[in-house]
Amino acid sequence: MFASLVENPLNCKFEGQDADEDILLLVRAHPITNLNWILLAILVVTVPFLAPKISSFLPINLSLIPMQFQLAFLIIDYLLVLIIVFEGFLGWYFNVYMVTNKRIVDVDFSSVLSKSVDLALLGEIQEADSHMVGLWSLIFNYGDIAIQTAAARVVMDFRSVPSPNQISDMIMDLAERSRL
Amino acid sequence: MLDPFSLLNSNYVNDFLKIVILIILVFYAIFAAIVVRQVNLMSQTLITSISPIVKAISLFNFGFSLGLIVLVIGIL
Repeated sequence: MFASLVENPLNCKFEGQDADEDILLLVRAHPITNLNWILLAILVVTVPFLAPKISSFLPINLSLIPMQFQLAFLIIDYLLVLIIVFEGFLGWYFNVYMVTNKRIVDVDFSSVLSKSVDLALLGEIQEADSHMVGLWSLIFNYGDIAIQTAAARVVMDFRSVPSPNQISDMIMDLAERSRL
Repeated sequence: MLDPFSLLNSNYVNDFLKIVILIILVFYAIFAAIVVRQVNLMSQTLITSISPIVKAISLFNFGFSLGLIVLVIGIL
């Protein structure tokens, strides 16, 4: 359910899926890419606990803040945590790349108010190049895949996906098979 | 030495902070409403078994944000 690389996913459909179209591969960014918002959420969670300790080194006395304001700031702090976690999860879970038996679908929600769905027919795909750059990519085995059509134009970019070599190989096999 | 936090007990600062907190919560409620719309859009685009759960969380978050505005008006 929360995997970042699923072959033949069950209970999964997308908008505009044809009746005779099957999802062969569902790919999300590698889970390690979630580390940024997880660390940020942990930092914000610890603010109410760290604030009294930090204030003890400064010439301020937080206990003078009225109790109801302390409670209000605590509530705002945890709301911030809630939205960081929820938005972080949504951004990871719903930004997917799908390879079907007909095409490649790139669903991208880059911000709260944007949605883009890119499609490329498997038969038109000429190249799928994978790149793994950086220490984290090599340790956790994730990277980018640039997919090109006959016009040598990059039509799709799979960003930070797990096992990029395996996925690009699979895409090329499917593309060759669809041209036969 | 005058502690700047002792000013928080004055009525003017109190009212000012109350308004600031309410503005933050109203903005949060607006954001939560946008998130409900965003989750609907996401769930229509990619239909999975957890879509109803995510929708329920977003609705709960929006309701919670409205409830908090009422609560904060009450306690501050």
